[in-house]
Formats: sequence, structure tokens, C-alpha cells
Amino acid sequence: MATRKKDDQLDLMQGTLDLLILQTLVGGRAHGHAIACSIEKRSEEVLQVGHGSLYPALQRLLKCGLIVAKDGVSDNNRKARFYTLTAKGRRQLFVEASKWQKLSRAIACILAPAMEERS
Amino acid sequence: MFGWRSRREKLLEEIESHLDMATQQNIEAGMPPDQAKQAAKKRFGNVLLAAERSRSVWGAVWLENLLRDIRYAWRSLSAAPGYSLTLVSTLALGLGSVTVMLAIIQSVLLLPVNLPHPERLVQVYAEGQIRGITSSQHALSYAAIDALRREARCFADLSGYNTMVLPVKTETGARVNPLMEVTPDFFQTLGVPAQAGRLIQPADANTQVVVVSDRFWRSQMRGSPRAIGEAITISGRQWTVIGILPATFHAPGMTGGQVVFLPISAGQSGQDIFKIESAAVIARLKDGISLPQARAEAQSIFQHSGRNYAEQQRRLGMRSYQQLVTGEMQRLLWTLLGAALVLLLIACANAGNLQIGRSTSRMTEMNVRSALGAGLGRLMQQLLTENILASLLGAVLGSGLAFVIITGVRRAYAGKYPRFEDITVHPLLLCASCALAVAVGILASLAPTLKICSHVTGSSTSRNATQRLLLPGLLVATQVALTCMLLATSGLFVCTLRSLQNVKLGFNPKGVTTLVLMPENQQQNPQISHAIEIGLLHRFEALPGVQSVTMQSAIPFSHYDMTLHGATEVVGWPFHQGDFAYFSFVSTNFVQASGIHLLRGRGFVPADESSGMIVALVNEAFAGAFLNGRQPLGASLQFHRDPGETEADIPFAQPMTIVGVVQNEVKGGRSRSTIPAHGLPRRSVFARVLFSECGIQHERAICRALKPARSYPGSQVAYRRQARRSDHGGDEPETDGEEYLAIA
Repeated sequence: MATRKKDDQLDLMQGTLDLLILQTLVGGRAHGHAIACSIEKRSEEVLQVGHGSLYPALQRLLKCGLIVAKDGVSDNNRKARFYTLTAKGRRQLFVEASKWQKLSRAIACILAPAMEERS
Repeated sequence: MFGWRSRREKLLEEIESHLDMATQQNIEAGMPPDQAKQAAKKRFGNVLLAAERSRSVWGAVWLENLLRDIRYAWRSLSAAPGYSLTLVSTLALGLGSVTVMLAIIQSVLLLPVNLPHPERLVQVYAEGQIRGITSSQHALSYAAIDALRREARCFADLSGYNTMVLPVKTETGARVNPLMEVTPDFFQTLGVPAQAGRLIQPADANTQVVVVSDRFWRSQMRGSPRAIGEAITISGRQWTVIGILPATFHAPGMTGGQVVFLPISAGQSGQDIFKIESAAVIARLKDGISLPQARAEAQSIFQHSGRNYAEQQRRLGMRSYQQLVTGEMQRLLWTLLGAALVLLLIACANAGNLQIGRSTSRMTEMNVRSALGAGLGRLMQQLLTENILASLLGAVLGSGLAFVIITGVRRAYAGKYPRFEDITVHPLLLCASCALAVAVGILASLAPTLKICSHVTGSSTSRNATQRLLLPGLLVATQVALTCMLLATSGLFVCTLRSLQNVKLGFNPKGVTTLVLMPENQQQNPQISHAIEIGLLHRFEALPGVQSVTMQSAIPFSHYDMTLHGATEVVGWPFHQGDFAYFSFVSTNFVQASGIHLLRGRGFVPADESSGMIVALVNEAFAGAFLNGRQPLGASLQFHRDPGETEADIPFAQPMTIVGVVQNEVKGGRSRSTIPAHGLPRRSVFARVLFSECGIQHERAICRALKPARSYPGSQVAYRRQARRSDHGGDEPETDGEEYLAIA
């Protein structure tokens, strides 16, 4: 459950959900609910994943062959569908993550004066 | 379909499991179960929307939607059987009539000219006064054809052909069969390849080889794979089959389709082996040459070529091959297609009105669907699908209807009109009909769809109430206007038909049966032929129900007539250039059997046979033109010979004595594409001459029975049996279309 205040929470930027899903699956296979919870938890509950938007994203990644799905049973003994990263997905993650880091560094550089002013 | 359902169910299961886990997590965090479930749902958002978006990733959602729409449309149509039946039948009638007309147009107008570059094919014909014996009124002499081929630069190819009927004997028996005598480059001009074997080539000019049509090969040679090299007998001579034409080839101006093609072999005298010295001409223009250019060049060559006697007063004309093949049919069939399209428009307006009525009762359904989240586009798609489905059902039913009608038309008119035996509903046409149905579905659904949409989007206010009333009224007005137009057109057609029925034919066609008779061996002694002719006439006369029998060299509305036109002078009366008459040779009972109206004098009597004098009847037009103010009876007429002209140029130099005057008869061909002729009624002379004496081997017997031949089932067989029993050997009164022409 989200424990942060609403003002501290951020909606995901367009196109970043796929990247976060891939990153989440680096740690091993996971089902949809676990992926959503993991993203929220690892972002210290800043990023809010619309659970409903998770599934179209998962279908998209499946279609591109970046992940594969397999039926299984969850920890609390429920039927669930587990997603695993493929080698192609891993390569794609590396490419996208590098791009993202470059972008964030560039934006950080631009925004640095504003931050200094505030401090 | 395509595992969509199981895939979707699996996704929904997964989302359900997701929600369960989230609920469990909330419960573990201390929420009461109801609240926990509620919170999980809230956090997830719209489950159906998520499922829908996931499905859109899979692709082909439109197809899934379409199939779902079709299922829904089918259920919707089944729920209102009365409405659906009316709608589908209305559209079936419209689409069916258009399909019938398209099938006829495709088979009769389009397929016959399905040749390489048909726009470059032209018919070259002679027009003006006809003189002497000709196989066709528009034929050119072989000499003129050679001159054109040799000298004209506008033509890539130029060839001639003659159509005739002759006895053809194959393994399956002897029959009078249509033949086409062609110059060796005929098939090259048309650009037709052989289906099997090879076609006639220039080297075949003087050889006894024939090419047969696909239909002849199938019926007369039993479709034998060893047909190439087989011998067939034509008019007592042996010919070798060297090739078979493709089934798609239609010989110009031929009905039936069982045709034998043989090379024209013109000798020194300018005549071929059938004593014909002229042929109809078709040519292929060179690329970029226009019709007037070609005509001008051909005319100049024709003027300076060694024209024979018959061609001296003539000039050249030219028209497209399309006109030659489809001539008189073209305008009629396109008009009928136009009428069918108007009928389809009426059906569309009717269907539109039906749907407007139904849409009123569906407003609630549309509102509910809209409230559930269906977009305007989705609703329109659903409505369109429903209408197109109804329309396609109409097309299927209409195609069935068309198939039945086409089968009927083919049975009724095959052999009577060229290419009608080939009329069929081609698969391509069914596709076109379906495409038309889709267009009709969209057109017919425009008004009701717009009405529903304006209602659903809430723009339906009191302002639109007037429009709602206007639209059906407008459609009804359109229907009434179109129906009135069709009624007026049909009324005109009926008037024309009635006028045609009232046209004075000059002869009485009721109860008349005609047959073509010819000796199997054309070289038979004329004396024997004469004896057989007389014997045959007596046998026909002895048949039950037969009132009178005669023979005539050319009968009205017939194919394959040998016609004799000539400069004619009345003895003792000044001759003017242009005094031409049309001659028909007849036997004694001509007046009784043909029912021609005798105005003055007498008909032929048996005594005329032995009198040694050739007696003739002339028609009113002849009497008016040549004997104005004179007593026609007893006057003598003869073919005019210019100084230096001999028996070879103008046969029948004997004077003929006029014994009676008959009414003008209608001229014309039954279905052959004739070049329009203008002018006064034909001036005719009916001369009582023995056929064998004038070298004409095609005799047409006219048998007048008490009842029309068609109501007389045994008559055809009886005539045929009589002809078979005769000493003519293989005589058979049988040709395609001509066999027993009963103008009843």
C-alpha cells in the first residue's frame, strides 16, 4: 500500500513503464502484481503504477519477444502468470537504460542552476 | 476464432488473480475484506478497458470486432424475420437484375472482343449498290483484298472470311454445319492462338486443312485427344483437322459455336472452290493509325484496284470490330443495364426507408450501448455491418436468381442470337455483385445511420424532428420518381413492340417452318439434284398437317443466304444507271407457302414448270420504280449487261415474264450485325427458277403447316426423316439456329 503522501507520488512518464518492467524482471521471474508492487517499492513509492496499464505493457513486451510468460503458482498458492526476461529483453534493457541515464544526466545538467538557486 | 477467446479469458483470469492478490495484500495491511477488495479494484482501474487495450496489442482487433458485429447483426436480423425478409428480397431483386444484365453484357459484348488490342481491329466493307451474286452484301472481292493487303500501309494485318453452311461428315455422322472460309492470315489478324495443334497459315492456302472450334471438337469429334490429323468430309471432299481453337474464341457473326474454319483458295478466275469471289474483311490497324486515316488510304487503293463488276459502283466503309461483333445488341443491352440499375436504386431507396422505420425502434438499444461506452464510430460500424450483411444476403439470393434466369435465357435464345449460348454467370461477376452489394449496403444505410447517430450524440432536438419526417418522404419521392421513369420507359418499349407486331411483313409467318437443304456432295449432277428437289417437296407436302411447301434461295430473317442483286432493265423501257433489284429464286408454291400477299395477277402454277418461260413476281416497290404507269403483268425484265460484259459477269441473261405483283416484304437479318441500310423498300423480283439450274446448292424449304411448328412436336423429326430418306444421301435440314426457324 502506498504510505507516502499523495503530493510526493509521481505518475510514470510515457514509455518508461516498459523499461521498469524489464528492470524488475532482471531479478528473476515475477507475476503482474509482484511487478507492480516491486516498481512502487523500489522507487520508494514515488512512482505509482496504474495496475491496469501494466497488462497492455506486458502484452507489448511479450509480442516483441523481450519477455516470456509461463503459468505457475504464486507464494500464497494462487494461479498466476509468471514473466521472465529473455536474452533479447536483457539487451534491450541495457540499451534503453543507457539512453535513459544519458537523458536524465542531460536534464539534470540543465536544471542544476535552478536547484542551486533554490538551495 | 484464432484462439482469441481463450487468450482473452486467460488475460481476464490473470487480472482476476492480480485483483485477488492485491485484495489479500490490503487485508494483510489491516483493511476489512470489503474495503480491501474495493481498494484493489480502484487501484487497478477499469478491468474491461485494460483487457481491451491488451487485446489491441495483439492486433487484428478490427477483425475480431467485425466478426462480433457480424454475429450480432445476424442475431439482430433473425430477431425480426419479417423485416429481414422484406429487406433482403428487395435487395435481391435489385442486385439479381443487375447481375443478369452484367452476365449478358459480359458474355455477349465483352468476351467476344477479348482479343489483343481489340481497339485496333476494324471491319472493312463495301457499301453502295450491290451487283451480281454475293455471299455478303458488304463483301470485297478477293482481288480487292489482295490489293489492300499488298498496298495499304495503315494495316498491320488484313484478312477476309466467308460464312456458309455445308454438309460436314465426321465419325459421329453428317450434319449441315456452319463453316467459315478464311484467308490464311485470319487468326493472325485477330491474334488468336491455337488450343491444340496449329492454326491456318499462309502455306496452307491451297491445301485441304481445317481448324475447328472448341465446341465442334467437343460435340462432333467427341473431344478426342487424337482429333489433330483426323479427316473430316466437307461437301464430298476430305479435309484434315490441323488445330483446335480455344473455347473463348468467338467467330464474328456466327451463332452456335460449332464452326469449321478452312482456308480460302482463290483460283485464277478469282473464285474459290465454292465459286465465291468475295469475302467480308477485317483488318488490324497499325499502332497510332486512326480509323479515318486508314479509311482514306484503303478507299484510294480500292478505287484504283482492278474492281470487278460487282464493285464498280461501290465505295469502302470501315467500322470497329466491336461494332461488327456486337453491333445492334450494344445499345439495347446497355439500355437494359441502365434500367436494371434504376431498379437497384429503387431497391436501395426502399431498403433505406425500411431501415429508417426500424431504427426508430432501436433507439433505446443504441442509447444503452452508447451509455455503456460504445463510441460513435463503433455504433456506426455495427450498423453498417448489419446493412452490408443484409445486402450481401441479398446478393447471394440475387445471384441465385440470376443463375436461374440466365439458364432460362440461355435455353430460350441460344442459337438465335450470337453468343447467347455462352451466357453464364462467371465467378468474377459474383465478386463484382458482392462488391456492388457492399456499396448498396453502405448507400442504403446512410440515412438510418445518420439518424441514429444524431439521436445518440444528443443533437436530436425538436429541430431534427422535421428532418426525421422529411427523410422518409424524400426517399419515397425518389422511389416514385424512379418507378415512373421505368414505367414510362417500359411503356415505350411495349409501344415499340406493339408497333413491330403491326408492321406489315408482306408475308405470313404463322405456321411456317423453314429448313436448309443441301446435297452432301456439292458436285452432284444438277439433273439428279433437280429430281431430288421435286421429290422432297412432294414428300414434305405429304406430311400430316402440311398445307404447302416451296423452296426459296433467300428467306427473310435468315443467315447464310446467297443474294443476287443486279442492274435490271425492263424490256422496252429506258435503262438508268442505278436501276437495281434484289432477286430471289423460288419454286412453284411460293405464294401459298410464304403467305406473301398477291396484289395483282397470279402466283406460279405447275404449268410454269414446263412452259420453258421463266416467270417472275415483282413487288410493289419494283413496280413503282420500273413500271410506273405501265401494265406490269406480261412485261419482261432481264439483267442489264453493259457492252463487253459476258455470261461470267452477269448470269441469268434470260428474260423473265412478270405474272403478278406482290406486297413489299420486310428485309433484314435476324441477328447478324448488319450495317445499317437506308432508303426505300427493297425492289424485289421472285423468279421461278430451278435451283439446280442456277448453280445454287443451298435450298431453303418453307413448309406451311396448319399449326405453328413449335406446337407440332413431331414435325421437325418428320421433316428430317423425309430429308434423310431422300436420295440426297446425307441431306440434313440442320444448321445451328437456322435448322427449323419458325417465325410463329
